[in-house]
Amino acid sequence: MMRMKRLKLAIGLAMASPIAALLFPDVASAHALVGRKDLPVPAWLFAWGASLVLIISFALLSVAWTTARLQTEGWRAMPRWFSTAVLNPATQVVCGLIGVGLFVLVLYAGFRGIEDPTQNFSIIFVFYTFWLGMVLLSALFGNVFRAFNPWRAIGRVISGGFRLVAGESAPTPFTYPDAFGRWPAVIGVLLFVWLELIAGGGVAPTPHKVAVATVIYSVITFACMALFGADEWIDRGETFNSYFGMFSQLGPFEVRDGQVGRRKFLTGAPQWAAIPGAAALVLTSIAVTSFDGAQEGVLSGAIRWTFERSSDIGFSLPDSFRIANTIWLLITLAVVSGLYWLGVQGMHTVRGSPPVKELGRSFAHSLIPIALAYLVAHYFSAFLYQEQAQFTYILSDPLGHGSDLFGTAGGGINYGIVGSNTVWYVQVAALVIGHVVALTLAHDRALAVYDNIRHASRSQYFMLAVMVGFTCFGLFLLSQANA
Amino acid sequence: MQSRAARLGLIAAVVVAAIVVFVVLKSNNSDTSSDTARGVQVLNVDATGNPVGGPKTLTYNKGDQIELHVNLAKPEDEVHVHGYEIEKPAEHSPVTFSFPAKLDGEFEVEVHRSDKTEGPIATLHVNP
Repeated sequence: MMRMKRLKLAIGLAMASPIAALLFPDVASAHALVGRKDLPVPAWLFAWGASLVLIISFALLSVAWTTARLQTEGWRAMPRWFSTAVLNPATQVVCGLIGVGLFVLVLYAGFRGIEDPTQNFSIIFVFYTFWLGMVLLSALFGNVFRAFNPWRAIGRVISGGFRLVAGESAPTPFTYPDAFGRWPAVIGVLLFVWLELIAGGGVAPTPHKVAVATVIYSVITFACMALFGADEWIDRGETFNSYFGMFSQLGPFEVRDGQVGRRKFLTGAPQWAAIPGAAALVLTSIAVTSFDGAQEGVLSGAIRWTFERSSDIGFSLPDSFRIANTIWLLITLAVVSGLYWLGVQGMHTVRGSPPVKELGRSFAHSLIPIALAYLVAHYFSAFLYQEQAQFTYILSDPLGHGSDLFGTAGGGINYGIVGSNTVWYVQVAALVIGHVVALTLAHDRALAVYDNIRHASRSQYFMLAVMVGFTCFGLFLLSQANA
Repeated sequence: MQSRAARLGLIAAVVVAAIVVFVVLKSNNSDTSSDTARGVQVLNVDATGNPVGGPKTLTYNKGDQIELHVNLAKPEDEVHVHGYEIEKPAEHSPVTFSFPAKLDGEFEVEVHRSDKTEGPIATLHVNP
């Protein structure tokens, strides 16, 4: 993730031409956010992982259960005292304040802090602690981001104030169209990753750019909250709530009607898929992680070629970088979506299938574990390194101006915290486990969608092919080069 | 319809098969000590602060001694080995490094130039 060294191609060109070097001074000051790169997964482990995937897949099919078990959610409220302890007004206010506080700090550090991304709170917090850490928390503890969501907190204060003054709730000019579904989040995730990987034009985005993007996103969010209603937009349209909420479907915890409740693992996922754009959201998540992994390995040659062609046409080097990477990001998205679409088409050939569109939506949730596995496999080591930064020097010196608030400013990153062998095993294990869970979800759904077991099993040969494709593709990316 | 015992037996067989495959594949491929760098490696940096002939990749096994001589055509600010976080002033040439390869992974060696720009001069590839 965000290794500014990915700019090597730009640096290479800049070195080749002194004029280009003058035009592109930023590249020269590129500084790796992560000082240690993972080694590619070795061939023997790749072969082992891939064969394990195949063996497990067929074993799973042959021992598979014959009645759907995960389709009914069975959410049950936990004891009242627990809900009161977690969700009382005081904790809600405190969580909201923490969220707004961090939000303000991102803006302040972005606008006023040091420009070096490795030393600035806004970069480390937004791209690691928030973007990756929240996924982990969501999968384990439910959609905790909702409690800390700064836009929601501010929106609630404003609509509360309106009610106090006007004596009635603020009018909402529009109702959120059902057809929008999860599509706003799809666009949001794509733009977020574009900011992270591409906007810098070859270097990491500056803290200033991140702050500007935060302001723009906030303006859009508040505007949409005014148009569609604060809670309505947060629950259905807001990017981060939808994105983290997707991963929270795997875990057992969810808040409903002011009560914390528990369900069996994975049973939250099936109902998640029923909304338009669900498949697009999970495929986008898989695609952007794949792209980040592929750009230094499998795709580096293709991106460089596109980069050179764009600069031949006369685009500046940063713009050529943006063009080349945007094109290949979209191609990756198309390929990943195409693979899923092929699987759905395959399933559709089985007798008793619902229409393609409905079918595509019905199985979308089974890809969530794969999206999570991709994230773990690609970012787990970088996350471990950057969280050390987050809780040492970034914590004490968020602006990079030399302060030492908590006495930890002198700390640094210990890159020896995990060895290559550990990294490889975690990567392969994540993909294999994600694969098994995905197959489980798909198989269970098939039993609900098809009216007899034979058709359900037959439809799953196609999903099996899709899942094996995703997992082996994931392993292949890791064996080529690591992000 | 399979019995519960048959299913469990099948799963156990799969696990055993997987472990056998793992052991076989691992023992076949554990010798990765090909073409490692030995002795003092010389890195020449030209007057523009770029490595002569482009950045080299130097491969080591964990535990090897890494010895680098960085020859600079003109004084620069410092030379920085990433990950190991060793930074040495580069006013005088050569800048020499000698340290054991304790961390595995890929690490950039970077020159911080006198004009405040930075650039890679080599990559250290340390096998576990």
